[in-house]
Amino acid sequence: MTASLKGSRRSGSNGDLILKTVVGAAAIGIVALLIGLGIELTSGSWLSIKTFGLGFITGSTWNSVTDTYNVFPAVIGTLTASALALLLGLPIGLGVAIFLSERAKGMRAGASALGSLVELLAAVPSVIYGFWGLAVLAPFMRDYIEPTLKTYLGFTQLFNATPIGTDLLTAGVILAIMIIPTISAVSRDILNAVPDSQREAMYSLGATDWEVVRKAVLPYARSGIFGATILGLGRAVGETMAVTFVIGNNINLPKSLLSPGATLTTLIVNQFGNTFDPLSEAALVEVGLVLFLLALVINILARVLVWRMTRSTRFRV
Amino acid sequence: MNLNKTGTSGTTIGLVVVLVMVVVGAGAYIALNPNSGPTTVTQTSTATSTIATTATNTISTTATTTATSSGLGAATLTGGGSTLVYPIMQDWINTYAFVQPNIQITYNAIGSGKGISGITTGLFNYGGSDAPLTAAQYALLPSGSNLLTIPVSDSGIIPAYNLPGITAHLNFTGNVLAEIFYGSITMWNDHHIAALQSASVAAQLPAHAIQVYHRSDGSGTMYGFTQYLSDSNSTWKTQVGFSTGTIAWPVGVGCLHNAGVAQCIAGNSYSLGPLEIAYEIANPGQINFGAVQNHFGNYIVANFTNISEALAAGVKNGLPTTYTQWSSYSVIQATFNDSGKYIYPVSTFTYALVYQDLSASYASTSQAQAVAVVNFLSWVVTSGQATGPNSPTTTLGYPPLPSAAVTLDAQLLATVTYNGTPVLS
Repeated sequence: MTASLKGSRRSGSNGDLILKTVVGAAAIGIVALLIGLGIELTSGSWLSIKTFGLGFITGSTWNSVTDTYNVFPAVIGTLTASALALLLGLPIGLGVAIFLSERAKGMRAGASALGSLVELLAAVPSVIYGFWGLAVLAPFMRDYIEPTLKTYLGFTQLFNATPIGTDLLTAGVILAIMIIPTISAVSRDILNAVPDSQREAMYSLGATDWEVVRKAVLPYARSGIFGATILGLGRAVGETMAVTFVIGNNINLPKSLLSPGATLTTLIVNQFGNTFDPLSEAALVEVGLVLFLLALVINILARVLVWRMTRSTRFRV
Repeated sequence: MNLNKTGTSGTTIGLVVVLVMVVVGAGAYIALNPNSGPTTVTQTSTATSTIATTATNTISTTATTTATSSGLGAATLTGGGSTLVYPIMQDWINTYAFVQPNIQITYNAIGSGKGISGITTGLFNYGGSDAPLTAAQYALLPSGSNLLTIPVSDSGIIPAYNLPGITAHLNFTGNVLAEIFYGSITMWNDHHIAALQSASVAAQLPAHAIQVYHRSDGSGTMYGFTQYLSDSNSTWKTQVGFSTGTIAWPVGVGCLHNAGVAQCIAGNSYSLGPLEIAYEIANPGQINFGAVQNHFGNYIVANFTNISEALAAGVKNGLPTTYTQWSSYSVIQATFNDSGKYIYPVSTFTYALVYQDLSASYASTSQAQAVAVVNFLSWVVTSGQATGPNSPTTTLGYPPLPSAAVTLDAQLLATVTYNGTPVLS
């Protein structure tokens, strides 16, 4: 017993060294990978950067015939579809999380079944979402949702187009469905981690369920929920296959939410196979670079926001 | 956190995940392969497959029979590129495994552009491309190399549509198609369209906007179609043009791959889009499509015979012999101006790319591989073109090469050398 304890302690010090080396290497490796990716994307797209300069981001033409490659419509498409996804997906995802952590507490089996069902949505491959989106969702949007939107909101430019089903709005809807499990699963864990003393304190003051959720639970979990949202946004920005099926893949600047559009990722998946001249290939790598920078900016903004929120929360709660 | 609870729920989730993955996987397989059951490999007997398609297109396989009757040495080949040719290429590879059991072939369907870059970098023993190389692409080939461009299959592109109530083949001209895809003609009952139809069909044309669909990805099919539109209409030629890469379609919605376009058209009334004929041949009667007017003035409903005939007309002056000629060559253009009575004007080749000197270091090919690749391609352009109820050309929808092209291919393949000696002897 004593011997084995000694032995384990001795190997424990060896283990410390191994642990230090392994985790240190892993951490450095990730940083190196990120930097290497940035360098590779920049050098791969150098020809395109040199040729188009800033016009690559601000121009609206993507045309192999004239060898002009600009991505403004795709940037707009990516931002619009992701924003729509958050707008639709966040309330639902958060709602599911609140239900699971606050309302379903008394029925543990039911809650865990519902929870795993929601998480299963995340395990469905995106190409399946895409196929379903094209076969089921797009016709549904075209026949029911979009004509209604056009009738009542057509006076705004946003919904003033012939409903076709494969457009930015449908892409936003399918992305919303895809990010709900991410948002709800992470938010549920965050909400479960809110100490019961928070809730009990509110109840003891005579607060209703709604007031408890709004004033005690959500503010406490705010930064975590924000993190969950950013995870969802990250998935929406990077999602490719499902979007390719339903967005309509038109590389002109979209005129409304009911117009077919394109995102940065769909541009790459649609065009990569058939490019083989140095300029168009460099342009596609630069699309990757823009996507990389976009993700970086979103992450940095998120960090800053979380940091500011946690500072202010510390004073409030 | 309650450890016990996590443990059980973890196991449950794990089990459910596995179960759902299996169900979803099976469902997706069935859903994504609506027409194909389990793949069956049919062994084509080389000895008996002399097949006559039409009087003008007789394909004789005698040459192959002698070439492949002796077993070839073991070799592993890698090819890749065109996705258009992939279904029949995979079938050819499966069948060839029976003909030459020692030869293993892998084909990566990663797009024509990547087929060209694969052959340029020596990654592939042969490439697949739906268009000849452009001047810029030729410039990137290793210095001193000579790359052969060998037609291996045919493809036709049909104007498919979904018009409730109309089952007749509508008539189209290249000019009217160009104006529809340019956005100048927007309505189905436009008088430009109505003027091409019989009176009874013209009266049925709906007063409804045309919903235009096309491929979202760069493709050989769209390359052929946009080249046809360029030949037909000067506005299209100057304002849009043609490419295997991105075409700046003035109107319409892009759908991924040929099957995507088929689904977009089938699922949306009043739609119109260019579809590779393979879909219609493999799924007869599933989709309505129009006849296209040829140079002679006849409206032609595309089929095996008139596509092969069109391409026979396209190569009647032979294939280009220099890179400069190849880079400006288009079989579409060659058929476009041909006044054959019954040729279908929107027909194109898909090509295999192989170096003429396979012993050169840039080709990265061993002698055994050289023998294998040349024999395989010789087999593809002869026995691989066999027609008949169970042949891959029929079941997968690839019209056979015209005999003129088969002869030209055989001449090209005979020039391939290894260390200065012809590979085929």
